[in-house]
Amino acid sequence: MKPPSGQITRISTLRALAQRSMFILLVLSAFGLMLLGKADTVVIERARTLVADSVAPVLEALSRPAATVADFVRNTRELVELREENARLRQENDRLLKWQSAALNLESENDRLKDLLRFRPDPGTRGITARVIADSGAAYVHSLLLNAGASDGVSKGQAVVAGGGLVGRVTEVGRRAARVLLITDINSRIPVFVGDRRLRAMLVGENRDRARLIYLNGPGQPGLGERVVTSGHAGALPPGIPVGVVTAVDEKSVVVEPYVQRHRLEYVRVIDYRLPGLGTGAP
Amino acid sequence: MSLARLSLGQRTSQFLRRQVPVALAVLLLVLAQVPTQVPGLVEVAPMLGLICVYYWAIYRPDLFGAASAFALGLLDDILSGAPLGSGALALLLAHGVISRQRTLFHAKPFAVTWPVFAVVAAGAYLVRWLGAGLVRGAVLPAEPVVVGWLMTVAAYPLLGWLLASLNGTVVKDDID
Repeated sequence: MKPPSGQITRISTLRALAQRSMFILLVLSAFGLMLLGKADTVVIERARTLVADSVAPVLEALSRPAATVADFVRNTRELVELREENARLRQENDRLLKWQSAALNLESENDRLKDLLRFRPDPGTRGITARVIADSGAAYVHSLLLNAGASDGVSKGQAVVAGGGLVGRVTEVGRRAARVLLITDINSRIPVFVGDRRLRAMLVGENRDRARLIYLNGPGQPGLGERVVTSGHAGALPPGIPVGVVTAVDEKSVVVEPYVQRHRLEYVRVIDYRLPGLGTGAP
Repeated sequence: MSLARLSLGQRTSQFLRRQVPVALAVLLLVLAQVPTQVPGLVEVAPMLGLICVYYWAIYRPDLFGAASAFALGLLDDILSGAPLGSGALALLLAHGVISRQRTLFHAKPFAVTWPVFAVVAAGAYLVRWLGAGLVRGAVLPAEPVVVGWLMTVAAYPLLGWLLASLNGTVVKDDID
């Protein structure tokens, strides 16, 4: 039996109405989520880590073949430049050997001096090696997802480093995945020392490849090519991790190019660093 | 033929076919998270989910509703670490605009749907950029967004063609 046409019109009107209110509800939810995110609540973080945790195994499985393909492309490219590369490396090796002997001398001298001063050594740090399993959305946030989480000993605030230097800090931790906020992210703030004069400054990201120094504290401006290392202030990060090098200085800003190139990251180390005797009357 | 007269196998096949649009969009989204190690790509990677939302909102809004667009955007926000709700809002609004005007673009040639997509994509990118900037409390650099938009517009012909070839072959109804 066919329903009368009036009934059909009524049903379709009702359906359109339901669809419209659903749409409005969803728009409001999106705004609600953005507001909640701004308030930085634990609920949002819990939800994010829950989803990240459940997708992590899939991403991990996918990232391996992707890395293999990328390696293959890189190897082929490197093969072409092998001869030049070899010559360059030989030169660099000579130079590094000289530095090595200088470093060994300095190390023994440093040990003797520390001994004289009864220097309290920095705590030993433990590293957790993790793979980068997701890297996207860089127009809005500079962050990475790692395949290590709370069950591997990762916790919030830990420093993440790769061969060349500091990558960023752990901001969200799930059971088996963790999110790292890169030093180039617009919300990243890292206390640093600049150059041999150890000028104090704050390294701020700008969501670009390079970062900037603010609150420069000390005599004069840093020079081009000066090294930037973590200062360890605020106790969040171990001191002395290489961060980058000053590449431009003008009246308004000092630009730092990080040692770590985002696209080259495959494995990183999460550093478990705890200040000695924190909370037990340490200075 | 009514639904009740279909065999179990037909009904299962029918059910699976109807999940293809959303499933494919989720698959593309997850694939897009994988690190590529190509310098500079991650800042400007195309928003493939937007192409899926646009295409299905015109041709099969019954299989890809506003809720799916919202969920897809939300998943993108969560996996990429972008401010929660910004991607969801962008895809949802794009879906809303297109599904209301779909009769205008339905059965229109590529020469019409592509430029329209470029406009819709520009709107979606703007919404996401503004939303993300508001939540993060900063003016985010605009260049990656502009280049990302261009990449998305450039990716439309290929992915749009793929979706069009699925529509009517894999994605089809056995019953009316």
